[in-house]
Amino acid sequence: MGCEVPVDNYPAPVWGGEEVRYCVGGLYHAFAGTDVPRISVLEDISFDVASHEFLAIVGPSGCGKSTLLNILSGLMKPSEGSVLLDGEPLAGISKKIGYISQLDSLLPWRTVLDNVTFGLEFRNVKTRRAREIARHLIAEAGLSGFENNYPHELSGGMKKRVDIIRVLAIDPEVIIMDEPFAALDVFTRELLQEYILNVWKETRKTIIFVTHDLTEAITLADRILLLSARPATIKAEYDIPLPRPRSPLEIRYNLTFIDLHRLIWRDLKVEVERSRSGVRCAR
Amino acid sequence: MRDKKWPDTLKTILLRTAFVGGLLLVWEGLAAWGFADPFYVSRPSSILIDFKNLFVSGEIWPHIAITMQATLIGLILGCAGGVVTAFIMARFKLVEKIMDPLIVALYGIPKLALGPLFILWFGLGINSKIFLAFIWVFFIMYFNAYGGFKNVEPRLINAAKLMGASRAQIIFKIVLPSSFPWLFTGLRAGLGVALLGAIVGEYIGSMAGLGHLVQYAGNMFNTTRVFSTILVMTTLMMLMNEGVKFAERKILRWRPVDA
Repeated sequence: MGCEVPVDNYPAPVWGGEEVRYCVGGLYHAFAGTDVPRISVLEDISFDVASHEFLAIVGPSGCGKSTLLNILSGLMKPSEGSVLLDGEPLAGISKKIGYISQLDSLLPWRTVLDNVTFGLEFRNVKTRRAREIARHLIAEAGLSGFENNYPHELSGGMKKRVDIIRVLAIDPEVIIMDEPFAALDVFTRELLQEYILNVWKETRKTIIFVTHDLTEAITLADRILLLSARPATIKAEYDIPLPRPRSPLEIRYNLTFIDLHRLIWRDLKVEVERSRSGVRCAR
Repeated sequence: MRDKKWPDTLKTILLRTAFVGGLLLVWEGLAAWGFADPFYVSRPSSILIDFKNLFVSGEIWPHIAITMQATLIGLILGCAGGVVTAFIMARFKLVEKIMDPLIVALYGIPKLALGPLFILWFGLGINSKIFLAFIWVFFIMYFNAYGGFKNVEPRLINAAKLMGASRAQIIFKIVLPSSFPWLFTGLRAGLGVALLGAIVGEYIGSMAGLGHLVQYAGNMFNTTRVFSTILVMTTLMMLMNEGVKFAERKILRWRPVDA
Protein backbone atom coordinates (compact mmCIF):
# COMPACT_ATOMS: atom_id res chain seq x y z
CA MET A 1 0.00 0.00 0.00
CA GLY A 2 1.27 3.45 -0.78
CA CYS A 3 0.27 6.86 -1.96
CA GLU A 4 0.22 5.77 -5.60
CA VAL A 5 -2.73 3.51 -4.92
CA PRO A 6 -5.68 5.06 -6.73
CA VAL A 7 -8.31 6.29 -4.37
CA ASP A 8 -10.93 4.05 -5.99
CA ASN A 9 -9.10 0.89 -4.98
CA TYR A 10 -8.99 2.05 -1.44
CA PRO A 11 -11.39 0.16 0.84
CA ALA A 12 -14.06 2.78 1.22
CA PRO A 13 -14.69 3.65 4.84
CA VAL A 14 -18.32 3.58 5.88
CA TRP A 15 -18.44 7.19 6.94
CA GLY A 16 -15.04 8.38 5.86
CA GLY A 17 -14.05 10.87 3.23
CA GLU A 18 -12.33 10.50 -0.06
CA GLU A 19 -9.06 12.36 0.03
CA VAL A 20 -5.94 10.96 1.58
CA ARG A 21 -4.91 12.99 4.59
CA TYR A 22 -2.01 10.99 5.91
CA CYS A 23 0.28 8.94 3.79
CA VAL A 24 2.77 6.96 5.81
CA GLY A 25 5.35 5.04 3.84
CA GLY A 26 8.02 2.59 4.94
CA LEU A 27 8.53 3.79 8.48
CA TYR A 28 11.38 2.28 10.41
CA HIS A 29 12.41 3.46 13.80
CA ALA A 30 15.10 2.36 16.19
CA PHE A 31 16.34 3.82 19.44
CA ALA A 32 20.05 3.93 20.02
CA GLY A 33 20.69 1.97 23.21
CA THR A 34 23.71 2.50 25.43
CA ASP A 35 24.83 -1.09 25.91
CA VAL A 36 22.67 -2.74 23.25
CA PRO A 37 23.43 -1.30 19.82
CA ARG A 38 19.90 -0.45 18.64
CA ILE A 39 16.39 -1.32 19.70
CA SER A 40 14.14 -1.58 16.70
CA VAL A 41 10.65 -0.30 17.48
CA LEU A 42 8.90 0.13 14.13
CA GLU A 43 9.48 -1.93 11.01
CA ASP A 44 8.08 -1.16 7.60
CA ILE A 45 4.94 0.63 8.68
CA SER A 46 2.89 1.91 5.75
CA PHE A 47 -0.71 3.06 5.72
CA ASP A 48 -2.97 5.86 4.56
CA VAL A 49 -5.63 7.72 6.46
CA ALA A 50 -8.55 9.28 4.62
CA SER A 51 -9.52 12.83 5.38
CA HIS A 52 -12.68 12.16 7.37
CA GLU A 53 -11.72 8.77 8.66
CA PHE A 54 -11.83 7.50 12.20
CA LEU A 55 -8.86 5.17 12.37
CA ALA A 56 -8.08 3.05 15.41
CA ILE A 57 -4.69 1.50 16.08
CA VAL A 58 -4.52 -1.44 18.47
CA GLY A 59 -1.60 -3.56 19.59
CA PRO A 60 -0.08 -5.11 22.67
CA SER A 61 1.24 -2.64 25.24
CA GLY A 62 4.82 -1.58 24.71
CA CYS A 63 4.69 -2.44 21.00
CA GLY A 64 5.67 1.04 19.83
CA LYS A 65 2.28 2.70 19.45
CA SER A 66 3.43 5.81 21.25
CA THR A 67 6.53 6.05 19.07
CA LEU A 68 4.33 5.83 16.01
CA LEU A 69 2.10 8.60 17.33
CA ASN A 70 5.08 10.77 18.20
CA ILE A 71 6.22 10.43 14.61
CA LEU A 72 2.74 11.13 13.21
CA SER A 73 2.44 14.24 15.37
CA GLY A 74 5.83 15.56 14.32
CA LEU A 75 7.41 15.30 17.78
CA MET A 76 9.91 12.70 16.52
CA LYS A 77 11.62 11.99 13.25
CA PRO A 78 11.60 8.38 12.05
CA SER A 79 14.92 6.66 11.38
CA GLU A 80 13.62 5.91 7.91
CA GLY A 81 10.48 6.44 5.89
CA SER A 82 8.18 9.31 5.12
CA VAL A 83 5.05 10.88 6.52
CA LEU A 84 3.00 13.03 4.19
CA LEU A 85 0.25 15.20 5.60
CA ASP A 86 -2.06 16.57 2.92
CA GLY A 87 0.56 15.70 0.36
CA GLU A 88 3.40 17.53 2.06
CA PRO A 89 6.21 15.98 4.09
CA LEU A 90 5.61 16.47 7.79
CA ALA A 91 8.47 18.56 9.13
CA GLY A 92 8.13 18.94 12.86
CA ILE A 93 5.08 20.06 14.75
CA SER A 94 2.15 21.09 12.58
CA LYS A 95 -0.74 23.37 13.35
CA LYS A 96 -2.97 20.96 11.48
CA ILE A 97 -2.61 18.39 14.25
CA GLY A 98 -4.17 18.25 17.68
CA TYR A 99 -2.92 15.76 20.25
CA ILE A 100 -4.67 14.23 23.22
CA SER A 101 -2.83 11.90 25.56
CA GLN A 102 -3.85 9.46 28.27
CA LEU A 103 -3.27 11.81 31.18
CA ASP A 104 -4.83 15.22 30.78
CA SER A 105 -2.34 17.99 30.21
CA LEU A 106 -4.43 20.83 31.56
CA LEU A 107 -2.52 23.65 33.21
CA PRO A 108 -3.43 23.43 36.89
CA TRP A 109 -2.98 27.17 37.43
CA ARG A 110 -5.50 28.10 34.76
CA THR A 111 -9.28 27.99 34.94
CA VAL A 112 -11.26 25.84 32.52
CA LEU A 113 -11.87 28.87 30.31
CA ASP A 114 -8.21 29.88 30.22
CA ASN A 115 -7.18 26.30 29.55
CA VAL A 116 -9.44 26.13 26.52
CA THR A 117 -8.05 29.39 25.13
CA PHE A 118 -4.47 28.19 25.71
CA GLY A 119 -3.81 26.92 22.19
CA LEU A 120 -5.37 30.01 20.62
CA GLU A 121 -2.71 32.16 22.28
CA PHE A 122 -0.17 30.72 19.85
CA ARG A 123 -2.35 31.50 16.87
CA ASN A 124 -2.68 35.23 17.34
CA VAL A 125 -6.36 35.03 18.13
CA LYS A 126 -7.56 38.10 20.06
CA THR A 127 -8.37 37.34 23.69
CA ARG A 128 -12.00 38.32 23.37
CA ARG A 129 -12.54 36.17 20.30
CA ALA A 130 -10.67 33.28 21.93
CA ARG A 131 -12.95 33.46 24.96
CA GLU A 132 -16.00 33.51 22.74
CA ILE A 133 -14.82 30.33 21.00
CA ALA A 134 -13.98 28.74 24.33
CA ARG A 135 -17.33 29.59 25.94
CA HIS A 136 -19.16 28.14 22.99
CA LEU A 137 -17.18 24.89 23.10
CA ILE A 138 -17.51 24.61 26.87
CA ALA A 139 -21.27 24.94 26.56
CA GLU A 140 -21.41 22.34 23.79
CA ALA A 141 -19.43 19.91 25.93
CA GLY A 142 -21.97 20.33 28.71
CA LEU A 143 -19.55 22.11 31.01
CA SER A 144 -21.36 25.43 31.35
CA GLY A 145 -20.95 26.85 34.82
CA PHE A 146 -17.45 25.43 35.22
CA GLU A 147 -15.67 28.13 33.20
CA ASN A 148 -13.98 29.58 36.26
CA ASN A 149 -13.15 26.35 38.04
CA TYR A 150 -9.63 25.03 38.30
CA PRO A 151 -8.78 21.56 36.94
CA HIS A 152 -8.36 20.03 40.40
CA GLU A 153 -11.99 20.85 41.08
CA LEU A 154 -13.20 18.72 38.14
CA SER A 155 -13.82 14.98 37.84
CA GLY A 156 -11.65 12.84 35.59
CA GLY A 157 -14.27 12.75 32.86
CA MET A 158 -14.77 16.52 32.94
CA LYS A 159 -11.03 17.10 32.73
CA LYS A 160 -10.88 14.87 29.69
CA ARG A 161 -13.66 16.83 28.05
CA VAL A 162 -11.79 20.07 28.68
CA ASP A 163 -8.67 18.43 27.27
CA ILE A 164 -10.61 17.54 24.12
CA ILE A 165 -12.25 20.92 23.59
CA ARG A 166 -8.92 22.62 24.15
CA VAL A 167 -7.78 20.79 21.04
CA LEU A 168 -11.06 21.49 19.22
CA ALA A 169 -10.56 25.20 19.94
CA ILE A 170 -7.48 25.32 17.73
CA ASP A 171 -9.51 23.59 15.02
CA PRO A 172 -6.93 21.12 13.74
CA GLU A 173 -7.61 18.90 10.77
CA VAL A 174 -6.31 15.79 12.49
CA ILE A 175 -6.81 14.74 16.09
CA ILE A 176 -4.38 12.15 17.38
CA MET A 177 -5.48 10.42 20.57
CA ASP A 178 -3.15 8.22 22.58
CA GLU A 179 -5.24 5.93 24.78
CA PRO A 180 -7.23 8.96 25.84
CA PHE A 181 -9.76 7.16 28.03
CA ALA A 182 -7.54 4.45 29.49
CA ALA A 183 -7.28 6.12 32.90
CA LEU A 184 -11.04 6.55 33.34
CA ASP A 185 -13.63 4.24 34.87
CA VAL A 186 -15.81 2.17 32.54
CA PHE A 187 -18.92 4.28 32.89
CA THR A 188 -17.15 7.58 32.23
CA ARG A 189 -15.30 5.96 29.34
CA GLU A 190 -18.57 5.02 27.63
CA LEU A 191 -19.93 8.54 28.01
CA LEU A 192 -16.75 9.95 26.50
CA GLN A 193 -16.85 7.46 23.64
CA GLU A 194 -20.30 8.75 22.86
CA TYR A 195 -19.01 12.29 23.16
CA ILE A 196 -16.08 11.75 20.81
CA LEU A 197 -18.34 10.04 18.24
CA ASN A 198 -20.49 13.14 18.35
CA VAL A 199 -17.53 15.44 18.00
CA TRP A 200 -16.34 13.46 15.02
CA LYS A 201 -19.78 13.51 13.41
CA GLU A 202 -20.07 17.27 13.87
CA THR A 203 -16.57 18.28 12.86
CA ARG A 204 -15.67 15.53 10.37
CA LYS A 205 -12.04 15.69 11.46
CA THR A 206 -9.56 12.92 10.85
CA ILE A 207 -9.13 10.99 14.09
CA ILE A 208 -6.31 8.58 14.79
CA PHE A 209 -7.13 6.78 17.98
CA VAL A 210 -4.73 4.43 19.74
CA THR A 211 -6.16 2.08 22.32
CA HIS A 212 -5.52 -1.33 23.79
CA ASP A 213 -9.23 -1.80 24.36
CA LEU A 214 -10.58 -3.74 21.38
CA THR A 215 -14.22 -3.04 22.23
CA GLU A 216 -13.48 0.66 22.20
CA ALA A 217 -11.67 0.42 18.86
CA ILE A 218 -14.55 -1.44 17.17
CA THR A 219 -17.15 0.86 18.71
CA LEU A 220 -15.51 3.99 17.37
CA ALA A 221 -13.53 3.31 14.24
CA ASP A 222 -14.09 2.95 10.52
CA ARG A 223 -10.97 0.90 10.27
CA ILE A 224 -8.58 -0.79 12.68
CA LEU A 225 -4.87 -1.33 12.22
CA LEU A 226 -3.45 -4.17 14.28
CA LEU A 227 0.18 -3.74 15.24
CA SER A 228 2.35 -6.72 16.10
CA ALA A 229 4.53 -7.10 19.17
CA ARG A 230 7.78 -5.12 19.09
CA PRO A 231 9.24 -4.35 16.63
CA ALA A 232 5.83 -3.25 15.43
CA THR A 233 4.66 -4.07 11.95
CA ILE A 234 1.14 -3.79 10.62
CA LYS A 235 -0.11 -7.27 11.17
CA ALA A 236 -3.61 -6.84 9.83
CA GLU A 237 -6.19 -4.29 8.87
CA TYR A 238 -9.94 -4.57 9.41
CA ASP A 239 -12.81 -2.52 8.08
CA ILE A 240 -15.58 -1.97 10.55
CA PRO A 241 -18.79 -1.86 8.50
CA LEU A 242 -21.04 -1.17 11.46
CA PRO A 243 -23.85 1.31 10.84
CA ARG A 244 -23.65 4.82 12.17
CA PRO A 245 -24.58 6.61 14.29
CA ARG A 246 -23.36 4.11 16.82
CA SER A 247 -24.23 3.92 20.47
CA PRO A 248 -21.37 2.58 22.62
CA LEU A 249 -23.90 0.91 24.91
CA GLU A 250 -25.92 -0.84 22.21
CA ILE A 251 -23.46 -1.64 19.49
CA ARG A 252 -21.64 -4.36 21.34
CA TYR A 253 -24.72 -6.60 21.10
CA ASN A 254 -24.72 -6.26 17.32
CA LEU A 255 -23.83 -9.64 15.76
CA THR A 256 -21.31 -8.14 13.33
CA PHE A 257 -19.66 -6.50 16.30
CA ILE A 258 -19.36 -9.81 18.10
CA ASP A 259 -17.90 -11.54 15.04
CA LEU A 260 -15.41 -8.75 14.46
CA HIS A 261 -14.42 -8.79 18.08
CA ARG A 262 -13.78 -12.53 17.98
CA LEU A 263 -11.84 -12.30 14.74
CA ILE A 264 -9.60 -9.40 15.77
CA TRP A 265 -9.10 -10.67 19.28
CA ARG A 266 -7.82 -13.99 17.94
CA ASP A 267 -5.11 -12.12 16.01
CA LEU A 268 -4.40 -9.67 18.80
CA LYS A 269 -4.07 -12.44 21.37
CA VAL A 270 -1.19 -13.99 19.46
CA GLU A 271 0.65 -10.68 19.54
CA VAL A 272 -0.09 -10.06 23.19
CA GLU A 273 1.34 -13.48 24.03
CA ARG A 274 4.35 -12.86 21.83
CA SER A 275 5.00 -9.56 23.51
CA ARG A 276 4.64 -11.15 26.97
CA SER A 277 7.10 -13.94 26.20
CA GLY A 278 9.43 -11.32 24.75
CA VAL A 279 9.38 -9.49 28.04
CA ARG A 280 10.15 -12.69 29.88
CA CYS A 281 13.10 -13.44 27.62
CA ALA A 282 14.44 -9.94 28.06
CA ARG A 283 14.47 -10.42 31.81
CA MET B 1 -18.00 24.07 56.45
CA ARG B 2 -16.61 27.43 57.35
CA ASP B 3 -18.99 27.66 60.31
CA LYS B 4 -17.72 24.41 61.67
CA LYS B 5 -14.09 25.35 61.21
CA TRP B 6 -14.33 28.72 62.87
CA PRO B 7 -14.88 27.68 66.53
CA ASP B 8 -11.94 25.29 66.13
CA THR B 9 -9.64 28.09 65.03
CA LEU B 10 -10.94 30.25 67.86
CA LYS B 11 -10.27 27.50 70.37
CA THR B 12 -6.73 27.07 69.08
CA ILE B 13 -6.07 30.78 69.30
CA LEU B 14 -7.46 30.99 72.83
CA LEU B 15 -5.39 28.04 74.05
CA ARG B 16 -2.26 29.41 72.41
CA THR B 17 -2.80 32.82 74.00
CA ALA B 18 -3.36 31.19 77.37
CA PHE B 19 -0.16 29.17 77.02
CA VAL B 20 2.00 32.16 76.11
CA GLY B 21 0.29 34.30 78.77
CA GLY B 22 1.01 31.62 81.37
CA LEU B 23 4.70 31.51 80.47
CA LEU B 24 4.93 35.29 80.70
CA LEU B 25 3.21 35.22 84.12
CA VAL B 26 5.70 32.64 85.39
CA TRP B 27 8.56 34.78 84.11
CA GLU B 28 7.07 37.88 85.71
CA GLY B 29 6.52 36.04 88.98
CA LEU B 30 10.03 34.61 89.11
CA ALA B 31 11.48 38.08 88.53
CA ALA B 32 9.11 39.83 90.95
CA TRP B 33 9.67 37.46 93.88
CA GLY B 34 13.41 37.39 93.52
CA PHE B 35 13.89 33.87 92.14
CA ALA B 36 15.54 35.38 89.08
CA ASP B 37 17.51 38.59 88.85
CA PRO B 38 15.75 41.13 86.61
CA PHE B 39 19.20 42.54 85.86
CA TYR B 40 19.84 39.45 83.76
CA VAL B 41 16.39 38.32 82.66
CA SER B 42 14.39 41.57 82.87
CA ARG B 43 10.65 41.10 83.28
CA PRO B 44 7.78 41.01 80.77
CA SER B 45 6.07 44.08 82.17
CA SER B 46 9.19 46.25 81.83
CA ILE B 47 9.82 44.85 78.34
CA LEU B 48 6.30 45.71 77.18
CA ILE B 49 6.56 49.21 78.65
CA ASP B 50 9.91 49.73 76.94
CA PHE B 51 8.47 48.32 73.69
CA LYS B 52 5.64 50.85 73.88
CA ASN B 53 8.05 53.69 74.71
CA LEU B 54 10.25 52.86 71.74
CA PHE B 55 7.29 53.55 69.47
CA VAL B 56 5.73 56.41 71.45
CA SER B 57 9.00 58.35 71.50
CA GLY B 58 9.51 57.48 67.84
CA GLU B 59 13.05 56.44 68.67
CA ILE B 60 12.65 53.05 66.99
CA TRP B 61 11.55 54.17 63.52
CA PRO B 62 14.92 55.18 62.06
CA HIS B 63 16.38 51.87 63.25
CA ILE B 64 13.53 49.91 61.69
CA ALA B 65 13.90 51.88 58.47
CA ILE B 66 17.63 51.20 58.25
CA THR B 67 17.34 47.48 58.97
CA MET B 68 14.37 47.04 56.66
CA GLN B 69 16.12 48.85 53.86
CA ALA B 70 19.05 46.43 53.99
CA THR B 71 16.68 43.46 54.41
CA LEU B 72 14.49 44.30 51.45
CA ILE B 73 17.31 45.23 49.08
CA GLY B 74 19.17 42.07 50.04
CA LEU B 75 15.99 40.04 49.60
CA ILE B 76 15.21 41.45 46.17
CA LEU B 77 18.77 41.07 44.88
CA GLY B 78 19.11 37.60 46.38
CA CYS B 79 15.82 36.40 44.91
CA ALA B 80 16.58 37.83 41.49
CA GLY B 81 20.10 36.39 41.51
CA GLY B 82 18.94 33.00 42.73
CA VAL B 83 16.12 32.71 40.18
CA VAL B 84 18.28 33.83 37.26
CA THR B 85 21.16 31.52 38.21
CA ALA B 86 18.76 28.60 38.70
CA PHE B 87 17.20 29.31 35.35
CA ILE B 88 20.54 29.31 33.55
CA MET B 89 21.58 26.11 35.29
CA ALA B 90 18.32 24.35 34.49
CA ARG B 91 18.43 25.53 30.91
CA PHE B 92 22.05 24.86 29.90
CA LYS B 93 23.36 21.39 30.60
CA LEU B 94 27.02 22.35 30.24
CA VAL B 95 26.84 25.28 32.64
CA GLU B 96 25.02 23.02 35.07
CA LYS B 97 27.72 20.39 34.87
CA ILE B 98 30.51 22.89 35.44
CA MET B 99 28.84 25.04 38.08
CA ASP B 100 26.73 22.71 40.19
CA PRO B 101 29.51 21.33 42.43
CA LEU B 102 30.95 24.83 42.77
CA ILE B 103 27.68 26.28 43.95
CA VAL B 104 27.22 23.46 46.44
CA ALA B 105 30.78 24.07 47.72
CA LEU B 106 30.16 27.81 48.04
CA TYR B 107 26.95 27.06 49.89
CA GLY B 108 29.03 25.13 52.40
CA ILE B 109 30.92 28.24 53.49
CA PRO B 110 29.54 29.56 56.78
CA LYS B 111 28.24 32.91 55.55
CA LEU B 112 28.69 34.45 58.98
CA ALA B 113 32.43 33.95 58.69
CA LEU B 114 32.42 36.21 55.65
CA GLY B 115 30.98 39.11 57.69
CA PRO B 116 34.26 40.74 58.69
CA LEU B 117 35.47 40.41 55.11
CA PHE B 118 32.40 42.21 53.77
CA ILE B 119 32.91 45.02 56.27
CA LEU B 120 36.47 45.32 55.10
CA TRP B 121 35.30 45.48 51.51
CA PHE B 122 32.10 47.50 51.80
CA GLY B 123 32.62 49.48 55.01
CA LEU B 124 30.31 49.89 58.00
CA GLY B 125 27.44 51.26 55.94
CA ILE B 126 24.46 49.57 54.40
CA ASN B 127 26.38 47.77 51.65
CA SER B 128 27.99 45.12 53.81
CA LYS B 129 24.62 44.33 55.41
CA ILE B 130 22.95 44.09 52.02
CA PHE B 131 25.66 41.76 50.85
CA LEU B 132 25.31 39.48 53.85
CA ALA B 133 21.52 39.35 53.39
CA PHE B 134 21.96 38.83 49.66
CA ILE B 135 24.35 35.91 49.95
CA TRP B 136 22.02 34.11 52.38
CA VAL B 137 18.89 34.69 50.31
CA PHE B 138 20.68 33.82 47.09
CA PHE B 139 21.41 30.21 48.01
CA ILE B 140 18.00 29.54 49.48
CA MET B 141 16.27 30.99 46.45
CA TYR B 142 18.64 29.25 44.09
CA PHE B 143 17.95 25.77 45.45
CA ASN B 144 14.19 26.29 45.49
CA ALA B 145 13.97 27.83 42.02
CA TYR B 146 16.22 25.11 40.62
CA GLY B 147 13.91 22.47 42.08
CA GLY B 148 10.94 24.27 40.54
CA PHE B 149 12.46 24.54 37.07
CA LYS B 150 13.62 20.94 37.10
CA ASN B 151 10.25 19.60 38.19
CA VAL B 152 8.04 21.02 35.48
CA GLU B 153 5.74 18.29 34.14
CA PRO B 154 7.20 17.22 30.76
CA ARG B 155 3.61 16.44 29.80
CA LEU B 156 2.67 20.11 30.00
CA ILE B 157 5.70 21.22 28.00
CA ASN B 158 4.91 18.63 25.32
CA ALA B 159 1.30 19.72 25.16
CA ALA B 160 2.34 23.34 24.71
CA LYS B 161 4.84 22.38 22.02
CA LEU B 162 2.19 20.42 20.15
CA MET B 163 -0.10 23.43 20.32
CA GLY B 164 2.61 25.46 18.63
CA ALA B 165 4.19 27.33 21.55
CA SER B 166 7.62 28.85 20.98
CA ARG B 167 10.49 28.40 23.43
CA ALA B 168 9.88 31.77 25.04
CA GLN B 169 6.16 31.03 25.31
CA ILE B 170 6.91 27.71 26.97
CA ILE B 171 9.09 29.49 29.53
CA PHE B 172 6.58 32.23 30.33
CA LYS B 173 3.39 30.20 30.08
CA ILE B 174 4.53 26.84 31.47
CA VAL B 175 7.88 26.82 33.26
CA LEU B 176 7.47 29.99 35.33
CA PRO B 177 3.87 29.53 36.50
CA SER B 178 4.44 25.90 37.36
CA SER B 179 7.47 26.92 39.46
CA PHE B 180 5.54 29.54 41.44
CA PRO B 181 4.94 27.29 44.45
CA TRP B 182 8.69 26.64 44.69
CA LEU B 183 9.53 30.30 44.23
CA PHE B 184 7.17 31.23 47.04
CA THR B 185 8.76 28.70 49.36
CA GLY B 186 12.11 30.28 48.51
CA LEU B 187 10.73 33.76 49.08
CA ARG B 188 9.32 32.89 52.50
CA ALA B 189 12.51 31.22 53.65
CA GLY B 190 14.51 34.04 52.07
CA LEU B 191 12.59 36.64 54.06
CA GLY B 192 13.81 35.14 57.33
CA VAL B 193 17.45 34.94 56.32
CA ALA B 194 17.37 38.42 54.75
CA LEU B 195 16.39 39.94 58.09
CA LEU B 196 18.93 37.72 59.81
CA GLY B 197 21.64 38.83 57.39
CA ALA B 198 20.89 42.49 57.95
CA ILE B 199 20.82 42.15 61.74
CA VAL B 200 23.97 40.06 61.91
CA GLY B 201 25.64 42.64 59.66
CA GLU B 202 24.67 45.26 62.21
CA TYR B 203 26.05 43.19 65.08
CA ILE B 204 29.39 42.92 63.38
CA GLY B 205 29.68 46.62 62.87
CA SER B 206 27.28 49.50 62.29
CA MET B 207 26.10 52.86 63.53
CA ALA B 208 22.35 52.25 63.53
CA GLY B 209 19.67 49.67 62.92
CA LEU B 210 17.92 47.09 65.06
CA GLY B 211 21.02 44.92 65.31
CA HIS B 212 23.00 47.92 66.44
CA LEU B 213 20.32 48.71 69.02
CA VAL B 214 20.52 45.21 70.50
CA GLN B 215 24.30 45.28 70.48
CA TYR B 216 24.40 48.70 72.15
CA ALA B 217 21.81 47.78 74.80
CA GLY B 218 23.75 44.60 75.54
CA ASN B 219 26.95 46.54 76.07
CA MET B 220 25.07 48.85 78.46
CA PHE B 221 23.68 45.81 80.38
CA ASN B 222 20.19 46.99 79.44
CA THR B 223 18.50 43.57 79.18
CA THR B 224 15.05 45.13 78.98
CA ARG B 225 16.05 47.02 75.85
CA VAL B 226 17.60 43.88 74.34
CA PHE B 227 14.34 42.01 74.82
CA SER B 228 12.10 44.82 73.60
CA THR B 229 14.20 45.23 70.44
CA ILE B 230 14.04 41.50 69.83
CA LEU B 231 10.27 41.84 70.18
CA VAL B 232 10.35 44.53 67.49
CA MET B 233 12.30 42.20 65.19
CA THR B 234 9.88 39.34 65.78
CA THR B 235 6.92 41.58 65.04
CA LEU B 236 8.50 42.73 61.78
CA MET B 237 9.24 39.16 60.79
CA MET B 238 5.67 38.07 61.47
CA LEU B 239 4.22 40.97 59.53
CA MET B 240 6.38 40.25 56.48
CA ASN B 241 5.60 36.56 56.67
CA GLU B 242 1.87 37.26 56.76
CA GLY B 243 2.28 39.57 53.77
CA VAL B 244 3.93 36.86 51.70
CA LYS B 245 1.41 34.27 52.83
CA PHE B 246 -1.38 36.57 51.76
CA ALA B 247 0.17 37.06 48.32
CA GLU B 248 0.74 33.32 48.07
CA ARG B 249 -2.90 32.57 48.81
CA LYS B 250 -3.95 35.05 46.13
CA ILE B 251 -1.53 33.88 43.45
CA LEU B 252 -1.62 30.15 44.17
CA ARG B 253 -5.39 30.04 44.39
CA TRP B 254 -5.36 27.24 41.81
CA ARG B 255 -3.75 24.71 44.08
CA PRO B 256 -5.77 21.97 45.77
CA VAL B 257 -6.35 22.93 49.39
CA ASP B 258 -3.72 21.27 51.52
CA ALA B 259 -2.83 23.73 54.25
